[in-house]
Amino acid sequence: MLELPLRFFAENIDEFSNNDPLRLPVKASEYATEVDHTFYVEYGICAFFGLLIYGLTAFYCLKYRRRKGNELPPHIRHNYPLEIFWTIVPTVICFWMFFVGAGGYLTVMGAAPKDARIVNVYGKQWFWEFTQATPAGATHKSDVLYLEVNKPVQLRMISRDVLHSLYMPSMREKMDVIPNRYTTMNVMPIREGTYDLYCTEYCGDQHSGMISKVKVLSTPDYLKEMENVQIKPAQLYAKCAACHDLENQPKAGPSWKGLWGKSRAILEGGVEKQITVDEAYIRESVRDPNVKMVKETPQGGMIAFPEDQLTEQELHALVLWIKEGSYDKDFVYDEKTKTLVKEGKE
Amino acid sequence: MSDHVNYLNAKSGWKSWLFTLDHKRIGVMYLAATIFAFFLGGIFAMAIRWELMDPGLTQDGKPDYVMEQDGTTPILRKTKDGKEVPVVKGKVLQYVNETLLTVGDEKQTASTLYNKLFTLHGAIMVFLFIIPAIPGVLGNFVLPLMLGAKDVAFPKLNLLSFHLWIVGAIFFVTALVCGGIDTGWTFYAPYSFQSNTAVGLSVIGAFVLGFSSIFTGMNFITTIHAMRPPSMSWFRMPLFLWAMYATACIQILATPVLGVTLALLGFEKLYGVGIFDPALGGDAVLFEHFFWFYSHPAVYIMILPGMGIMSELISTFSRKPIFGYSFVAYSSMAIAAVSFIVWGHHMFVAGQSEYATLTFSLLTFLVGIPSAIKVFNWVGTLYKGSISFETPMCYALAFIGLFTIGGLTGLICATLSTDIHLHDTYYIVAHFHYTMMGGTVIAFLGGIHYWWPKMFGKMYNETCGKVAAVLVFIFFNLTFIPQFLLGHMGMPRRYHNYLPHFENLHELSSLGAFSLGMTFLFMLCYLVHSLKNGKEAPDNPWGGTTVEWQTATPPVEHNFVGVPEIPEEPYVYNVEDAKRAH
Repeated sequence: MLELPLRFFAENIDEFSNNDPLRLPVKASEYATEVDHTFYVEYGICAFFGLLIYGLTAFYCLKYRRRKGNELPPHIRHNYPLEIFWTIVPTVICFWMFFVGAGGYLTVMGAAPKDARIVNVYGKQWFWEFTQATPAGATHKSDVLYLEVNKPVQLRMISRDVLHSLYMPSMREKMDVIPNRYTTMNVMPIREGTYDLYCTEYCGDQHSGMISKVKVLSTPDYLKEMENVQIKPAQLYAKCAACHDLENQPKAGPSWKGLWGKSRAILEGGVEKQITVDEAYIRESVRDPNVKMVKETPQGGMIAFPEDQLTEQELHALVLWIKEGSYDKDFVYDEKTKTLVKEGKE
Repeated sequence: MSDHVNYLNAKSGWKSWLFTLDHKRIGVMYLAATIFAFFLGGIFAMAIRWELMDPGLTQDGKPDYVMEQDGTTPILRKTKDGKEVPVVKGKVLQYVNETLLTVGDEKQTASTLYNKLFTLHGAIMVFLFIIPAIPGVLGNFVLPLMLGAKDVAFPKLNLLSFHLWIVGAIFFVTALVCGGIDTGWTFYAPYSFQSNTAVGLSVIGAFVLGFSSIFTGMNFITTIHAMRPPSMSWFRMPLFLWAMYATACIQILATPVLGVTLALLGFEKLYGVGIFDPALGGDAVLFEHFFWFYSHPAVYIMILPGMGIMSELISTFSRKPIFGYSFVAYSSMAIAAVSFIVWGHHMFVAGQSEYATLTFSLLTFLVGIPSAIKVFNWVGTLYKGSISFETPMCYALAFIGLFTIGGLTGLICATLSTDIHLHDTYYIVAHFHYTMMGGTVIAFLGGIHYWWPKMFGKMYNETCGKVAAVLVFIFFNLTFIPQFLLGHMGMPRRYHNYLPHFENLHELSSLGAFSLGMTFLFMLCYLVHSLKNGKEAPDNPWGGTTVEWQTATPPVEHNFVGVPEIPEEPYVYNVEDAKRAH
């Protein structure tokens, strides 16, 4: 009875703007439509009861305020039919809300549709890594989540270190990413565009920097992106950005600006040495950061990146990028010549 | 001070306070202690809101530099060690940190400091303030008086409970001085193993405070069972006692689980036994189950005493018995019982099985029912009452207003499909502040203002009291309504930097928070002022009918001279009182 007008309201409220704080974010997934209906209908019901309580309280406070003649009010102790009535009403509403919410929930968390594409999500302190098989059979790896519009996807997620949680407000979905087991989440993107993606489970120092984007592309754009399996040092840098800056901004680790060729004092096994930052030193620092500790920050703290997280080629590309020092986004690693080339210039 | 010999002036010297067995003095010490904790936690809240006034990120998620007038060159500033670095907007904490708060030689980044701030805010408010506040202060002071008893059943255990609070607080303050702790108040594994902050000290502190809570609970259960006067049957007890009884049941049943969990955490950290850390073969989700198996019931340890106070206030200031007494009493016990089987709603998206999630959602809705009954019954009590609006009643009305919002938004969080969007966003932050602060803290303030004359024999300035109550209500909403809206938009919790489209609402929320902080300082001022300069309080300033109003103000050392008269029914207001009240 109450639901119909509220549903009408819920469907028509969508026509307003995007970053309006009174509304949920733009709907980019099938699931979002369902959540929004439930959300606005439940808000309507809650608002009704809230206003009822506020209204009655205000009305009684005015009408029955203490004045001459009502100092000793009637001692009404019980009205069982009324009390049973207002026990049953919230019970019914609560059960109804449960069923509505549970129905929607099962579409995200249940089994994936048969034709769902699988995207592997790897959560790490403090960046995301998304890998998926391209139609050509190669592996596409990125720190941005690329999805094809109107194609169901199952995200298969695992964490390298601590708890994370993948949250996409425009999809209305989130799921924790846990170190020792897969968690899954089904996404059915229905609207092209770039949306925010966050980590919502506190994961340590740079938790608020663990944000990225989800890009929902049209089929041709998506296929084009899937061909892009070259190694780009600027993309790899996303893994390092939490601790290393490119412009001398202080972060947990040293800035890469002017790092190459610098002479620095290090401690190796407690012995102080002078070394030059070169290919070998950077490689060792990435694979096994605690062997040579920089003297000023002997507590260390960098996490090792083994082969399965940063391949030898990728590491080489990064080293060349640091050496180049201009931090140009367009550099691509050429696997044949083992050099960096500008994208578009063969 | 009143001229008769009372519990305040009978003995003097710090030893007569610190080693007293008098429940009233222990209650007063708890009051001073928890107010200290409240302001300490409050300072962290202010610092959090200060940092959040500026996003610190651009729309693409890059650091937001402050530019020269040309709009492209970042403004540089010198750091402590002489380097020139660009100034990032919103890194207030970083500046504070570099200039003031260098711990040893180790420099902290703004994010590190922020993570410590919200952890300390949460941990101090939960473990040191909100769990012990109402049972420790008002439970200790009022419960034996309401029963017409001389003291609680185990006065020495009661003192031990307070001493354990102090020991726990020392651990927390030591952890704070040793550089703080950054795991969040929930100590989630495996981050709590990775973190190199003072996790150990805080865990020991929380463990000790758990025992303080258990001892208080044991004492109250025994006192209510054993020391109730023969003429006071269960259904003639004031509702505050029902609420304290329900609270005490949760305290003794749930808190040991926290102890066990924290002990396991300690073993794992010290000896590397794999329980929770996946790296050692443990299970991180198991920790969440263990932790919330205590911490969800703990939420009701916080709110149930507040609901008890509400029943007293509404009845006294409407001069009517609580409408539906038995429903309110049973609903307290129902909440206590259901509180044990809803912990999984903290883990809807934590990777527990779908069936567990569905079950927990349904059970969570069950808590809504007794809570709704209570609110309806309070509103029903107002009907045809004789309502007066002294300060405690202002808090009671504020409670109805704020707790209603907290409760109703709880339904939206319990609904699975909407919760997946709102989980771990500012919506949750706002929701639990509406119940914990809008509920418990407001009820606590109402209770403090209600029993203040009985505790200290002085009246505070009524106008100041009313003004503060109204301001708290307004500024509270100003602080937390924007946070609901931030939650709608998808602002995650525990972020010190955020995307710029959240900025306006964060600023509004900070403005509310600062104003709220000032209001609490104002409240502290007039309450402390009243201790010396307040008017002498009569024995029964509000016309209350519960037994504690029969004794002198402040009460004599053994509470009553002679045997107090226990009313046959609770909350019977008579004609003589009615005449006097007008």
